Amino acid sequence: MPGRMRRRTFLLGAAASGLSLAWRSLGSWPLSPTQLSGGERLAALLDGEVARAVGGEYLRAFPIEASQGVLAARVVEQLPGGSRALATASEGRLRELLLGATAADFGDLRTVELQGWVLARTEARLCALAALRADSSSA
Amino acid sequence: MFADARSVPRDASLEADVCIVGAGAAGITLALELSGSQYRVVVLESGGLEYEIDTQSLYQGDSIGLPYSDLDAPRLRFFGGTTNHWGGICRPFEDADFEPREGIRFTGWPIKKSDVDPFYPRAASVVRLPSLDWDLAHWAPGDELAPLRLRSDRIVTRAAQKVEADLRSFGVRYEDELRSAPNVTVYLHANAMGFEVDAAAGTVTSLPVATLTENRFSVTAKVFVLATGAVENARMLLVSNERRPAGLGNQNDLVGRFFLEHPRFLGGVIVPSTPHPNLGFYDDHRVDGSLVRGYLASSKDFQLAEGLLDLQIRLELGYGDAPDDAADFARHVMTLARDPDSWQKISIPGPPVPIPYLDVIQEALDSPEDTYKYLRGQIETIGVTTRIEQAPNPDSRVVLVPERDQLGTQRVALDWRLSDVDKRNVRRTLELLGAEVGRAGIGRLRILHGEDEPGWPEDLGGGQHHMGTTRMSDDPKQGVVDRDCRVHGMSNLFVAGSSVFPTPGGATPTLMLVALAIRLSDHLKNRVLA
Repeated sequence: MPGRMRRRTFLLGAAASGLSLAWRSLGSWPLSPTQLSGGERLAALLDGEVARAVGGEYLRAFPIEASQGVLAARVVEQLPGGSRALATASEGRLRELLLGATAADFGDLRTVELQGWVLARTEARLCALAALRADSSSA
Repeated sequence: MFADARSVPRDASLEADVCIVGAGAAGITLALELSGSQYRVVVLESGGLEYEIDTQSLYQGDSIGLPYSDLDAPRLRFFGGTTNHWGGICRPFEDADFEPREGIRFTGWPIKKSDVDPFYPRAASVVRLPSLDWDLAHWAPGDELAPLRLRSDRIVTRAAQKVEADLRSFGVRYEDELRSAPNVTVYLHANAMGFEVDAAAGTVTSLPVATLTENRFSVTAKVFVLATGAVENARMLLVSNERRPAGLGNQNDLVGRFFLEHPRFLGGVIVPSTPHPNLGFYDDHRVDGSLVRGYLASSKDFQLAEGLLDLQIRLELGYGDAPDDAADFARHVMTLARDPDSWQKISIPGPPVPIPYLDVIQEALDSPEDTYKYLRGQIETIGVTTRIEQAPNPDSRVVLVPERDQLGTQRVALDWRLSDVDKRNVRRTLELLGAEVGRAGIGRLRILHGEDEPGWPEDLGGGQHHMGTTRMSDDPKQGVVDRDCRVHGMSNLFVAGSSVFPTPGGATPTLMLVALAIRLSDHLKNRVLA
């Protein structure tokens, strides 16, 4: 059963529609994996306006998860290889693992509904990490 | 043979073994099945051979429940009935469609699929379906038009056949056959005015008939079959109230109740992961010469586990704008049309798409932009139209109103109502579809109507499938007709058509109601008249 939230009027619709594009258009890895914490690395993976808008909505719906540590831990829980994979996998491998975790979320019905969009928990949490990262950058 | 009721001698009494009221899909099927038999058959059709405004207006009635089209719009009142604008989509009911659903009141049929299966081959012949093969593999022979790869225990693809457009009208198709049937007389412009019954109100003795030209006569018969559609079937029983004030078959206040539809609206939108998803299977296409269309549906496993009824999902492609050179593209298509062999030789930039080129050429002449979009346009959205198997609801009903039509017969109003079961069905199925769309990499689904939003979407409409108002049940307290379609409490009054459906099923109703009409004709010939 997906988590649910009240609807508000904002542009998440357009944002979420670009989410799958965000997955496809991941740019070059900005920093060496060793230079980033696990949460930062995840946050950088799905960055951009689209992801931040989705992530902001996720944080409003699930404020209990509104910290980088909690979100990263929840994502890693679903990742084959856990935190070790996060720390050591190459960009390409990590992306594969996260896409796999997203597909597994959908398969196991670990979904969340944000503004009507049915999203995998993993991808929604990655977006939330991106939103937190953007907030901390602008603070 | 055919006759015009306006020319029948006034106050004449016509005699028949079987009187069929209504010449739509059910009535014509019954007449065909009885033609050539030893029985004299009279068919009463309100209209003529073509649409007539005055006759059609006899259907007028208000909608007093959920928004619905005017009652004189969905059904056609002339020979052939509503098949004269039928969409032609056919698919049989499945086993589960006949079973009661745990937790949903009033569901289930008193008969099983095995009771109807023997009649489908004849029904397919009557509706002119070329094949009775419903196996998905048969209709998806290659990758070019492959069904989506979804988990079959969640969302399934089903194939429906479409009758060719020029074969859909039973009126056009079967006029000559009935005209030459020696034992069948079709009276056009003949309006049934309500049944007259014996003192015990258990047997129909006569059916008065009137025309809009004020001619009147009556029909006596051993058996009467009401086949006028779900709204009019209820109306006819309710206005037959001379000896039974509540109407015939209405001793338990069931006639007109349980009006069912296949409610439909845009339930969601998918943003696809690729600009050219292969969804050709879900649009009209041909396999072995047959016209086929695929659609998605919740699996029966899911329905049973969740306590839901059926739900169909139609996918409709939304294209981006065509570029400025769309007209050049269309001209290119037309150039190819002059030499169809060159079609295979010339490469059009872009990914391969299935091209039913004759259709495209015609389209290109009319609308180059649309043609471009069809062939090359990027698919920006996929509309998800949901069509629900409505849960039986006694408050959804057809009722008599004081106003009368031109013949003096009371009109009806439609109080169409849905229930929380229907809303839950859409919500849960779309949640599941959203997960499957994501899992299979098709894209992401947005559900357009929130769970906590009151009411129904503004684009809610029906499939123009009227059902349920004289529902079938072995128990007179639960239904109007028994398993043989005989009105409870009446010895010689039967009902044909989708008004007997107690649960509507997910499939379109025509093939099923034709199969049931054939079943009824066999029952009449073998059990009632013999």
